[in-house]
Amino acid sequence: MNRGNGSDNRLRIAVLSLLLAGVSPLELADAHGGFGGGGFGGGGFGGGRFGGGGFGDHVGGGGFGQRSGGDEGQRTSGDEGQRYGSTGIGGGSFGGGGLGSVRASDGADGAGHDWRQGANRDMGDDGQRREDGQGGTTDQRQQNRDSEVNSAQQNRDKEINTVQQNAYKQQDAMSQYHYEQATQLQKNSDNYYGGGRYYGPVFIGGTWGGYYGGMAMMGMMEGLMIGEMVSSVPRNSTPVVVENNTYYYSNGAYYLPQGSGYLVTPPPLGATVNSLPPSCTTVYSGQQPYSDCGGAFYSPSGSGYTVVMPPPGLTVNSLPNGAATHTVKGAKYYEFGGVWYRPFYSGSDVVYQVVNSPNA
Amino acid sequence: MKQKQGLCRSGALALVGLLTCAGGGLAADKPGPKPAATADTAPEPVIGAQVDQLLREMGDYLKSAKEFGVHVDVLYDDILASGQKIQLAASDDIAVRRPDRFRVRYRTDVGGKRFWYDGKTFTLLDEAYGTYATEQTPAGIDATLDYLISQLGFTPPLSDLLYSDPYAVLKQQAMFGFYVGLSSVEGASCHHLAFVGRNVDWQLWIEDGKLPLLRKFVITYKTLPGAPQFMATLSDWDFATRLPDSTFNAALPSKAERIGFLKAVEPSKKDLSKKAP
Repeated sequence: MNRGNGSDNRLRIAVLSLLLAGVSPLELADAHGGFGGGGFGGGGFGGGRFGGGGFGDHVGGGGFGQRSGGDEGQRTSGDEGQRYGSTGIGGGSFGGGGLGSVRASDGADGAGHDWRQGANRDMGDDGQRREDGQGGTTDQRQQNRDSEVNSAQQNRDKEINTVQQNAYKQQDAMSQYHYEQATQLQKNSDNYYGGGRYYGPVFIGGTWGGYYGGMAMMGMMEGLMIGEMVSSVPRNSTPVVVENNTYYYSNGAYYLPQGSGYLVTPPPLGATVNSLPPSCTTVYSGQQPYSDCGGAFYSPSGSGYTVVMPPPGLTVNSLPNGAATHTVKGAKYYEFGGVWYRPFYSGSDVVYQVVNSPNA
Repeated sequence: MKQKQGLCRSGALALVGLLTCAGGGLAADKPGPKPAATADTAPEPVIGAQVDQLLREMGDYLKSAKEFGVHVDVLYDDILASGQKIQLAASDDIAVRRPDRFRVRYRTDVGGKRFWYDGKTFTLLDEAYGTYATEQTPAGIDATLDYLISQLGFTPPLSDLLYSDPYAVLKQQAMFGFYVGLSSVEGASCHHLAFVGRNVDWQLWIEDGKLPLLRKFVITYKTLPGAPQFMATLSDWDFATRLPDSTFNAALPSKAERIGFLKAVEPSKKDLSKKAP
């Protein structure tokens, strides 16, 4: 809450001062240099994943993805019987069902599925957020430009993401349906929260430890590791009550008072926060959107986001860093934060589907 | 609705313009009203006789070949969330033996995939991940490709050419087709044809020589943001080599790990309990 408002105000102030300062468009252009906010943001070019969850191994599919839902609506469906399952040649190659193929792309709901974005970055709420301090005079100016540039960038991203998401919704509704058909028998709600394996009230251990130990989710954790004790919480933290425990939330990190300090914990299941951690990816289960924030899943609720277990059948295009590999009865699984995944081809892309724990 | 008709009308106008520019005999008449009038139903394909004939010659030549191979150099667009377009490259080697074998090796800047269809089983290997999946598919290349499209959601690139009747496959998707002109592809003079489909537009360059070989194939994904393109240049057409059966059997690395396909239909139980081989 506080943080959200703070950001907004800062942005407003920044834009205002930009106007006052009379920064010329030319200067804005100069400031454009950094890929920072934009497509390259989060995931970054680095770790083999190009456009923030886009490219990397999953190109073609990658950065572009966008199964544009655009004019889906105008089309009579099924008239040529060309249907796509869930797409995606991507996987580092050619994009989607039938990239490079007219027949595969031009059917009733074809082209939209041709390029698949490795992951659908949730740019709207994170990518661009700047954590600048108050900034001195020169800094201030640079910062103003950045804000402006970022906000333009952000608008583009939002637009693109909206187009994408509409298309994804339809597509994923389909895959989810198929999966549900298949897993209905397996479903056992006990697996969800049961077993205490997930986030209990104190939660260290399992792969969360390994995960944060691996220093993934740095942004989200503000440089902290799960299990670390700190003496105070960030000024902008907001209290979040979960099962009678009051946590403090700030920028993706959760702090639980312990003695005279605070323990950094994994996201507690059921916590509802006002703003998502940085670098989340939106994924859909049917029509229901989830934000995959480095392996912690949030679901929109009211004006905020609630930490939830992702439903089996949800697919993600990349695993959280630090996911542990398990082989159970000859099949390979990945596990992170109590969530189990199995690799599948979706189209010709490798994706990871949330499944029930094989040990349950 | 209104908007749609408006679009169609302007499309028709554009078509008139193009035909006029192309200067073919077709332009003399008034082709205008027809597409606009049928805007609410499926538009009747408008493909000039010359275009149809060139497309047919190209397709029929492939149709008549029992076996062929071709090398393809590909450039394709990737689009970042910011809208920035990035061009990537791939190379693609295709071998087809009608009616029931093909093999495709597709290597890109960021990984590679291999596809085999040995007459019974289709196999997809992702070289970057070291994972593969296999699937029993309906008999024959055509049925297998249709199965891949409808059930698994992909095809090998340029799969239009793998079908037994490429002419029919391409023509079926074309709403409009027109002749652009002569254009050189790697030194060879080619007929440049352009087609309009619903989701994609595509262009073909067919060699104006002894054999009506396809030399370039560009697909524009016009309904996707940024309208990315897939641009393929085809070379080394080979209609002489006779490949042994083993060529079409999946050649998997020893460490390759088997995973399943997520399907468009209810998967059978074996997919859920699939074991590593």
